[in-house]
Amino acid sequence: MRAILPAVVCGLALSACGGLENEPLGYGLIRGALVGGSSSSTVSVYGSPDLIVSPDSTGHFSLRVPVGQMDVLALISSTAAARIPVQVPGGGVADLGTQIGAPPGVLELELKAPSHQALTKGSVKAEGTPLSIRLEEAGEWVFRLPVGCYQVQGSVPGLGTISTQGCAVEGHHSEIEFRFPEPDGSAGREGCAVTGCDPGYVCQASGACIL
Amino acid sequence: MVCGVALSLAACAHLETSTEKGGVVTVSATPGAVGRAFAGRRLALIIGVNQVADERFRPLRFAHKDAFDLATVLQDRAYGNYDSVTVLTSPEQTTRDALRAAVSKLAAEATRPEDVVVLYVSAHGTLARDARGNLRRYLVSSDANFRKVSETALPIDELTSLLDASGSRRRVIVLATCHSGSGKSLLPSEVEAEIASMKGPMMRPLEEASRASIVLSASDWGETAREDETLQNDIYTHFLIEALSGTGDRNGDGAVTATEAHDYARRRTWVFSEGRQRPSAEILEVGADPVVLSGAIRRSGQPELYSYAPRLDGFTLRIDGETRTDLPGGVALPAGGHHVELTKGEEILLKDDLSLETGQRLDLEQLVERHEPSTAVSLIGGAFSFLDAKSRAEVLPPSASVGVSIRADHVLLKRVALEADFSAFGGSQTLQLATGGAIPFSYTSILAGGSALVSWDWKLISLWAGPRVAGLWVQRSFNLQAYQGNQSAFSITPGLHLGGAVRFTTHWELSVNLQTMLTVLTLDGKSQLLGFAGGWAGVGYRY
Repeated sequence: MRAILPAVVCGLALSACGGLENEPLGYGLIRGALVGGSSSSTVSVYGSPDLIVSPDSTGHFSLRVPVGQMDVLALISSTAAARIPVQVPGGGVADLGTQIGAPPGVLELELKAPSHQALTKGSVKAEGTPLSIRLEEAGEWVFRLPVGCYQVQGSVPGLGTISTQGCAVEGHHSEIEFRFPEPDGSAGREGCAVTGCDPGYVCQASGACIL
Repeated sequence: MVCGVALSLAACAHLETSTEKGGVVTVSATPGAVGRAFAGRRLALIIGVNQVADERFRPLRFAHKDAFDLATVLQDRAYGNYDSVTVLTSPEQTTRDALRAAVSKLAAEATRPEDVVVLYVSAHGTLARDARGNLRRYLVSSDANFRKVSETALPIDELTSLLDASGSRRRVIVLATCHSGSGKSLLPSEVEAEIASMKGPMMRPLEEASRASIVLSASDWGETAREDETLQNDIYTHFLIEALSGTGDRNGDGAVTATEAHDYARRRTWVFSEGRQRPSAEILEVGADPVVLSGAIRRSGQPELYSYAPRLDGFTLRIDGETRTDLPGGVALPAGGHHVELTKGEEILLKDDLSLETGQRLDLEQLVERHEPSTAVSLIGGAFSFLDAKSRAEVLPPSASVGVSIRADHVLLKRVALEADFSAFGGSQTLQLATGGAIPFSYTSILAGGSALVSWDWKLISLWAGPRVAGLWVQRSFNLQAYQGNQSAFSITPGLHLGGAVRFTTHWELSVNLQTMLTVLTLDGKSQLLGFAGGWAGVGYRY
């Protein structure tokens, strides 16, 4: 009997042809248009920053996403952004219509070393969004985000990683300071042995910099 | 055969002068002598119980006389010409143990298939519950106790079982007894009350039927077998003896067969008792080989039509527009063409023109079966569903279907049927995917298969069951804003098929079929073994 069942199953499998697919039904489209955007505008799914698209020259966009409830982040310009809750049906379309956004909340970011370690490398990102800034790159140290609270993470090699919550309030600036603790020599927190020291300071074995 | 044996003996005779060790000894054997040596013998055991020790069984007047009268005709060289007739009538010869021993001895003596064995009993019969609580028929032996029937009397079915041990295939049991509580029967009050509460005819127990035996009863279940003062015999026995004396030779071939004798006695008993006593017969596997009870077949007889099948009980046989007999029974006809009808009231079961030849014996049941519709074409409607909830939600929800089926009954074997069906179903459905959301789609499915079935048939009802194999094709079509496309899959599906039909006329039936099947379906690139089941009801035309 044990031998018969597999044989029957194999025979049936060999006789089968074609197949059904439910996989395409696990996805849907988010469609819409951004007004006042540019080629740098983005539309992404909050929590899945890889699901991102830029609008075409007319401002229209279409993004294929898994079925379900989600928030869509529309980062339209430096003066407009939107966070839109949406339900995406299987095989269907969630149409966001035309989005003009609202003034974003501005999170001003600052990294602080505990004892004059050199801050030449590192990054800050708003988790779940496509926004991130690297120390090596020139630019404004701000995140312009739609109204809401976000987990923001600052990371400097040798000093570690700090995560904190920042809430964007429409039209307002909020400051977020990442003050790293003294290094302790553990992996990722070697201190000045990795970062080096500000000019005039000498790196100590403890990872701290002194005059 | 006889000539062959004679020639062999003649050829062997050339070795007569041989002096070699092991030479053949000459014997005198004419073809006639050899033929007689190989012919079947006729053996009879005849039992008559007038008096039972327990006086609560009132004495019978003619049981001994029945036995001796029958023995006389069986021993008569002009009629029965039996090789051995044993008559047991005395109290010590008719105790339960003595009867068992006598029947066993009779069975042991009949060693050849062509031996004719007759066991006749004229006695009280009664009914009682056995140790298992089954109601059984008992022959009241001379030592039977009225209050302990099951422990002291001889079960009728034991008689047939004992005779089954014989080598004979021509066994006839004649029961001039009854079990109704009147006439030649006496029942305890509780059994009487039980019978009185039964509605309709009493069922004949299966144990009565014995392989290759004919059981002839002087009365049907629940009826009275009677002795008659003017006849000085049990009524049935009187006419049975009359039949065996030559008058029962219906087809004029020189022999009186068991069925001829029974038909003769049955009809006359029915008339004489003014319809109060209806002798019955249980006949199995005797076929076209008649059991000759009296006389010998000297010439081809008239063709005969007969039936003892219970399903034809009560039908009237009409020949060339004239009523000839009610079944069970038979008639002899002149050879040639005849128009035959079997009717019951307004119902005509059979209407046919037959050309009958001299010596031909035609079982009406076989004729009916040949004419009975054996193929049914049905329009069917039903539903189909995967057995597991996940497949119902994510592959195809339960769906309606319509189609057609064709079933051929009695293919090759009486209890084998073949069925083929085709059903299609389509429409709109909704998937409920685990990822959430209802997905509308349209579908088309085709199921085409065949089944090999074992069937059980009753008068109006048939049931069947058997293996099945089918092909299942499913197509799903999606027309969504973000996905449009057709998907299809095909697989072979083995399974089981159960069903049944109720025939409400000769040609029309209502049928119900249930099928469970296995299939391998590829979903998202993975093959899955799934079970599904369907139920269909239909209206069928039989032809």
